[in-house]
Amino acid sequence: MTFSTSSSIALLLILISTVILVYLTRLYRSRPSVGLRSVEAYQAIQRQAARAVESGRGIHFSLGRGSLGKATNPASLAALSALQNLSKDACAGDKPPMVTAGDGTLFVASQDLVRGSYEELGRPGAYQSQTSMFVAPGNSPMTYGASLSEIINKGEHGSNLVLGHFGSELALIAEAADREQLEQIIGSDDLTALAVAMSVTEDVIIGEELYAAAAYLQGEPAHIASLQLQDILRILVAISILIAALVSLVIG
Amino acid sequence: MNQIKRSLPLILAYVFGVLALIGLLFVPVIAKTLTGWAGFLAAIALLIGIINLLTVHSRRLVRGNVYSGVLVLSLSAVVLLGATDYIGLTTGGVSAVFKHVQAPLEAAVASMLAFFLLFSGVRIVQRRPNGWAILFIVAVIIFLLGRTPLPGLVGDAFVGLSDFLTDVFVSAGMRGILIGIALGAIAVSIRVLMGTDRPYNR
Repeated sequence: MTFSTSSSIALLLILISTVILVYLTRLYRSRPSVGLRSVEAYQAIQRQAARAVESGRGIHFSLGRGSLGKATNPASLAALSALQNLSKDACAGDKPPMVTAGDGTLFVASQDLVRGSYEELGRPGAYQSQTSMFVAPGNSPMTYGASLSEIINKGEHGSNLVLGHFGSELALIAEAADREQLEQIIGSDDLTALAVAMSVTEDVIIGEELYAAAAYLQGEPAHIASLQLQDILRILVAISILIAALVSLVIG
Repeated sequence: MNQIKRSLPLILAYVFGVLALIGLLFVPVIAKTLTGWAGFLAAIALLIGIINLLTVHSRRLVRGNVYSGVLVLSLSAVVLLGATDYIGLTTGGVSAVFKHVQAPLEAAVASMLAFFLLFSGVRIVQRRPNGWAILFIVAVIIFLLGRTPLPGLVGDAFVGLSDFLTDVFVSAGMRGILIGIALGAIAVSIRVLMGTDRPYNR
């Protein structure tokens, strides 16, 4: 067993964050009506899901190419969380959603979620294995982007939801969706992908907003508490940066 | 029975999550073992994904899709090459395919990104001719001129201006977003450890 200062600080930070999260969750359970800052992209997600079902054209939901077993895990989990909240609505229509993934673990998880949605709707037989599709391995980003643009170019979908870990290949995906005049919502944890997204759609979920998917789409007390936790941590980081800047200014 | 079916994944996720956390911070051998297991499971998941890809495209091939035919053929050829490499009939077959086919194709597609971004930039101005779009275009022009070999003082001025924008505004914005992403990742990880987020168990 090895103890280091940085590991101990990290563990302390995690423990304190957990305690704050548990406390805030209990607080929001007893006070359920909490107003969230309006994020246009999350309102648009719900509108698009409903519109795609009404129009008979399905949704294309891309979960990115981040693995659940690597550092991209949180972004992929956030994307899965959004899928979990939307898939029941999306599966209610005649046209099933198309979920694409660029990683094996993400693909298996998405298959399970979509199958679960059909089971919850009481029509497990309606689930088709092609609803979730593994497109290309994550270490071939351009192959992944080109494959998705091919899927989008078929014109079978009414909207394009792109949430998770992407890189510059997002330009190919967004361009294809733009050509098909699809409504797009893009959210990523990658700065290059965000820069690309800003140039094609107004509905961009920027950075930390991606991790708020569950709070906006589901609104459970624990999810809202986790948003509050993020705010507290952000204030602490900002104060620390200010103090460090002041100290370095004074000491030189 | 139903209760056990629902609780078991949650308990397993919690136990292994805490073990991995302790392992990463204090006992590297536990972390190494668990990430090894995760790697093995990820490889199995990749195999399932490839089987799904092959199944979907085989169905499309039957319906007459030529591109799916190309995919099925290439996939089968690479698997066959892998097998012949393994038994010693060929040497470096799979790496040759990656070096001479996959890598150049990826590079060719990547080289087109600049054009996609340029068209996207033009479209953003056409679609949203507001203050932000104008700011975007002004920034693009300054950066382009800053990276162009212009003569004398004019060139130096644009290099200085573009460097100032990159070092101050772009860096500050990027760091702000990255700090937000890191904090969001911490919050999601704790939610998963607490069992609030369960993408593996509805």
